[in-house]
Formats: sequence, structure tokens, C-alpha cells
Amino acid sequence: MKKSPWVYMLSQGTCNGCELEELTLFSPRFDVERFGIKRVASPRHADIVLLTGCGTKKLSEKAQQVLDQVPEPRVLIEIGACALNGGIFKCPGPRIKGDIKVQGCPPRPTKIIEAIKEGGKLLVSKGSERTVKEKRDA
Amino acid sequence: MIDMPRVEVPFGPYHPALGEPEYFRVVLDGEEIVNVDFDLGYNYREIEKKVLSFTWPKALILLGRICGICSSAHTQAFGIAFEKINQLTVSPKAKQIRSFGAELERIHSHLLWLGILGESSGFDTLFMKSWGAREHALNMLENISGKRIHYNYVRLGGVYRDLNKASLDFLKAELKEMTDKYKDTYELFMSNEFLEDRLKGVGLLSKTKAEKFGVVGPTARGSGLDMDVRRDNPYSAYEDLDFKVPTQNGGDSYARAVVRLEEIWESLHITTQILDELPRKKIEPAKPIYTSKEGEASQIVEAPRGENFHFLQSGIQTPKFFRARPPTFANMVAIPSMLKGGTMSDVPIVISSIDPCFACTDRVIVIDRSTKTTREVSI
Repeated sequence: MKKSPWVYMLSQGTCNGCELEELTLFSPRFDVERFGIKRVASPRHADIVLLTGCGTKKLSEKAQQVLDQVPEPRVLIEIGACALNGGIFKCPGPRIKGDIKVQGCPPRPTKIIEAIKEGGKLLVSKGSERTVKEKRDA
Repeated sequence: MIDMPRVEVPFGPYHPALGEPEYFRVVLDGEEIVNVDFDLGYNYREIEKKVLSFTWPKALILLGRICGICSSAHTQAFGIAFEKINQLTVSPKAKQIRSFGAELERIHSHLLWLGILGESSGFDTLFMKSWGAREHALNMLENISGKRIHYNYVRLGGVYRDLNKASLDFLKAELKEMTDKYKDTYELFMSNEFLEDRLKGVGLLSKTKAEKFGVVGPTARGSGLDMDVRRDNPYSAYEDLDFKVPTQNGGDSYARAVVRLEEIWESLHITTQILDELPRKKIEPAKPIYTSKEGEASQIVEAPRGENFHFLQSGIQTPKFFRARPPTFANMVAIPSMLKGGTMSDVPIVISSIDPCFACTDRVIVIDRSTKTTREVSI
């Protein structure tokens, strides 16, 4: 991973399980800050968005508003069964689609770390594509 | 002097200080909070309706997913209500394993909350220490159930599996290590003057007001109300266990914090007792049950946040009617009263001091037939 990705946790209506496993990443046992992965409080600072939750009626629209504030290039990671297909709750959605998918209810923290690392690589390639495109346009 | 108008500040639904999406409307006069309103229902997932179409073993799995933090409290309440209807007897060892899991859940939930409190008051070392100790509780839960979160070890009529000698040795070693780590965390909290100054006198809830609002759990015990379902109306193995119910008279965020920290010591004491006294005789894992008698029953269990009430009316293959009242719903009504008179900077601390769990709370939808509109409320 070339860059140090900053992650933002975006919930679309969950049971808290996936959020807990995401927060555990920043505690001493898994400590993802050793990879340069940092949690940010504002969506405007984020490179990678961790999407959880099944997309409840009241929250889907608000989640989209928050996502619109995340700058490009960005990588979206769907975490947990709910974000993938509605999970056991079978919420109607709409849910935000992601680039990388992590299965589990909730997934183990090590799986989430792998996904974020993959997301970091994808972020670099997305960023270089963007620079090429900008140069061409100029 | 400039006459300042009242300012309405929206707090949420997405806010760095809130772990979960909820909306608070705070009205400020200068620096002082004069009015607070809140809007719940963002995590509403139609659980009470969906469970009616689930078979019994599957219903237990769904109800464990009401909340990722206190899933044992929900499955246990539902399981005991089902056992009451069908007059099932649970072996004493299975009861003890249930209580063991419930206490581990209390420890991990309180340590989680302590970390969040540390983070929201700008004390990251506390977050690191308490979440480091919490991992041992998760290891133990993984050992008895196979999962770190959503440990559905409670089954209708028993538990998922027996504890063998290898797992008992592992649990004892982990428990010892966790006790050592928790001691560090406890001393860090108790010896810190900064935290004491930051939390004392913030979010006051007097004893009379606590009684009036009907708050439950550590929020009530922090205001001097001596109540605990485990002692007052024992279920599972709590009748034979020795433990105290810590209370504080301060009624502020500090008192509620101290109550939770003392409760962790009691939970560690209970878990040690269970491991020492666990019968050697092997028990069979509970087999899935697909049919039930018709009837109705209710059960209250003491979840980490307070009383968790389940009411169940059973059909033959599926539940006919189900209703749950989690503890945060009872505690939320006290929030406006706690916040009034304080400042905006106290809002995250006061909200986290009741340890809210909105995933538990949001579960009801109202359909107005005359206007054909739907709206969500929380009960």
C-alpha cells in the first residue's frame, strides 16, 4: 500500500455489530494505525468509506447526502451481510453500492483489514487514472 | 449588550460523537441549553413483524440481531419466555453457562462504553486500555459460542454446547488476564482528576426525577435507586450466586460511570464463581425445537443497560405476537432533563453517560389508515 488511507464509517441502519468490529480495528489488538490507516470524523477528509447496514427507510436518503460530501477519488467498501444484500432483516433499501465486498455477520476484523488494504491499492490506481484523464483534458 | 436570539442546533443524525445515527435538536440561549428534542427511528428494521414469519430456531437468531452489543440479553429473555410456555426444564449447568455468557456480555459492554466515554472526553489512553481488556471477554465468548459478536449460545431449552475441560482451562486463564488488565483501567479512571472534574455535576438526574421518568439499569442506580432484576426477580442461575448491586447517590455522569465500573468487578466475581462451581457432569447440546404449545409469557432480564422486557404470544410453528422493550427506550426520556441548563460541549458526554443503544430501541412503525401515510415511532 503506497498511501495512508483515511477511513470513515457510514452506517445505513444496523444492529451495531459491524460498527463494533470496525472500531475494534483501532484498538490495541488489531491496531490498523500501523498500516497508516486512520479513522476520521468527517466525510470530507475520507478516502475510504466503510458502508454498513441494510438501508432503512429513514436513513437511506441521509446516507446518500453524507456520501456526496466524500471527495473523489474514493473507495467504498460494503461490510457485512446487511450492506451486501439486506442480510437477515431484508430491508428494502436503497443501499449504496461498493467497490469491495466483505461477507460475514459481522465479518472478522482481519477480513476488514484485508479489504481496507485492497481498497488502498484501488485508491492509488483510481487516483492515477484521474491524473491521466485530467492531463488529457488539459 | 447585544440581545442574542435563540439558536437551534441540529445534532445528528450523523455526528462524530454519536456511534449510531440519531437526531437531537438542541435549542441554545447563548451558551446555555434551554430545550432539547430528539427523534428516533433511524435504525428501524421491522424486527417485531418479521419474527412472526420465522420458525422457532430462526426466530432466536433474528432476535439476537436486535443489537450487536447485548444479543445474549435478547435471546435469553425470548428463550426463557418460550420455556415458560412449554414448561421446559433447563439443566442447572446450562443455566450457569447462560449466566456466565450474560456476565461476559456485561463486562464487554461496559468496557466498550468506558472506551467511548474516554474518546468523547478526549482521553484516548482510556479507550486503548479498556478496549484492550475487552478483547479477552470477546475471546471467551468466542470460546463458548464460536463467534465474537452475535454469540447465539442460548438455545430453546438449553445452550449451544457444553464446556469441556480444555475450554474451562482457557476461560480461567483468560479471566485472570482480563482481571489484571481491568485493574489497570480501573485505576487509570479512578486516579484521573481531569475526568472527575469533567464528569462531576454534568447531566444531573435527581432521585425523584429518576423515579418519575422510570429510568432503569446503571442510569437508575447512579441516581440512588437500588434496583436490579438479577437480585429482585432472579432468573437463570442468579439465585445461587453471590453478588452485590453497586449504587451511587451523585446522579451525575460521574456517578453513572462509577456504578458501571463497580459492576464490572461484580461481574468478574460472578464469572469466577461460576467457573469454580460448574458441575462436572456432561450435558447434551439442546436440539432445535420446531413446534410449541399455544400460550403467552413474558420475561425481564437485566441487560448491561438495564431491564430488557420481552412479551411473547406463541403459535404452533411461529410466534403469534412479539414485543420487546429494551432499556434505552426507558432511559431516553430522561435525556432532555439531564441536558437542560448545561452547555453544548456537555451534550456528547451526557448522551454517552446513559450508554444509549439505538439499534435496540428503534422497532415500531405506525400506519395511519385515514391518510395512508406511515411514520416510525420508538417504543
